[in-house]
Amino acid sequence: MPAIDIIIPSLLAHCSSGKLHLSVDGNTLKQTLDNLLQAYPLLKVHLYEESGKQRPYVLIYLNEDNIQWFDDMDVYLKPGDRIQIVQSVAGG
Amino acid sequence: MNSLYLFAGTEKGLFILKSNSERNNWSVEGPLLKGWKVFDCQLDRRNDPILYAAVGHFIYGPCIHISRDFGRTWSQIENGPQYGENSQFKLNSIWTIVPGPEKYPNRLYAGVDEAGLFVSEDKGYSWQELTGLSAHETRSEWMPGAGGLCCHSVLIDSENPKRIWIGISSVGVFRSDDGGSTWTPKNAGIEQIIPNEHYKEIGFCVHSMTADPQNPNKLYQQNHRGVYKSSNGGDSWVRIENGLPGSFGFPIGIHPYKPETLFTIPLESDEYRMPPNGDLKVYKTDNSGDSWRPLSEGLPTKCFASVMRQALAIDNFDPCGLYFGTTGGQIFASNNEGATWNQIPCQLPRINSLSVVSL
Repeated sequence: MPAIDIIIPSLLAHCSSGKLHLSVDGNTLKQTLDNLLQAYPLLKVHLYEESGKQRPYVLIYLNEDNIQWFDDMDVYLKPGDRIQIVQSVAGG
Repeated sequence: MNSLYLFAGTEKGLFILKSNSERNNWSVEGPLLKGWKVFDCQLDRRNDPILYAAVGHFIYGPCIHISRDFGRTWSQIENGPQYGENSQFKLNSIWTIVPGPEKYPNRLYAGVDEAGLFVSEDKGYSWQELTGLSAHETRSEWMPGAGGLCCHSVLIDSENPKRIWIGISSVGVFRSDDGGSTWTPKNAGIEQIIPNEHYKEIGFCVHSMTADPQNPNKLYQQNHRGVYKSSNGGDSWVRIENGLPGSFGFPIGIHPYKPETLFTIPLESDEYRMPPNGDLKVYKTDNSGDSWRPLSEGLPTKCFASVMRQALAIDNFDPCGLYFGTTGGQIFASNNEGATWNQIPCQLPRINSLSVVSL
């Protein structure tokens, strides 16, 4: 099971013991995100609404791709893949 | 000698201002919870002191942080207020955190947007929705105001913990007599702002509420349409505006041990929402609202910032001290019940809330 690098925004560092770079195991995107939230449960409320939908201005990228572009989350991951959580720039 | 602490919740974090008991020499610490909009911060001293902060962010949503070391370190609550997965409502922000009655020292309430009320029975570590409010027959007709559909005021009867009042902008005041299971609108006598086709008991825009600490039947509110008093637990309200320059404003505060004395900060109409002619004044009544008079010595005459509903705080010293923050980031303080004022030397982000404690 590859260890995937995950980068989180500094505003959410309190959810990950102050760390901005995490390493989380997972074979697929879904499994990796599930493992991320299991290891750092405080992140969940900031990334997802009560309904389970990703918050509208939270962007999660797998390498260069916005994960919302994928048909599903069962995307297989390989060593060296990187997940980055960023806030969408909205407004001015 | 006691120290005095002001907790200023701002658009970009929390600031803690500390003074001596003379309240004339302040230090400023912060921003804590940097980058987060702090709606409310309250110190609960019923057990070991715990500081609660209701915070939110446009992108990352709302949550509650707790500090057990007076703000030095904070931890986010994992099981904070949240509507259920299948709820038709969404938690947009947490407006207020209110310690419950003395008899239940582990209990707290949180008023939220979309309008709802949550309760914690374990010092804020987990929260449950009081679903009777969301289930009210008028709920489908509630409309958000300029500040959202926010439940911003929660009052607990000091003699009967089962009696609770809440205030929701653009909807009105509700009272529960059974600990929050069922709710009844309590807006008789108040001018309606948004007449509703189906329910005449909603559509009232309460901006803030306070209760007489010695007589829980006496309530006061600054409303979108005026300043009101109730002498019967909210069953009916009467206007108390004699001497005020207008009816609009946000905060209203009551003296901690002279309950016939109250303070409000009028603004020019809902269209403009700034001090009339830029003349920033606090208004005081010493007769439960029969008449009001302005207090302005030391306050600016060219100030066009607003004062938000939770941005007025009153300490329990003798004489009591008053503090208010503006949307321009200023904090004004009086150590003599409003007779004279000074600006605390700092310029903060937009101030959403102030609370004060002496230790």
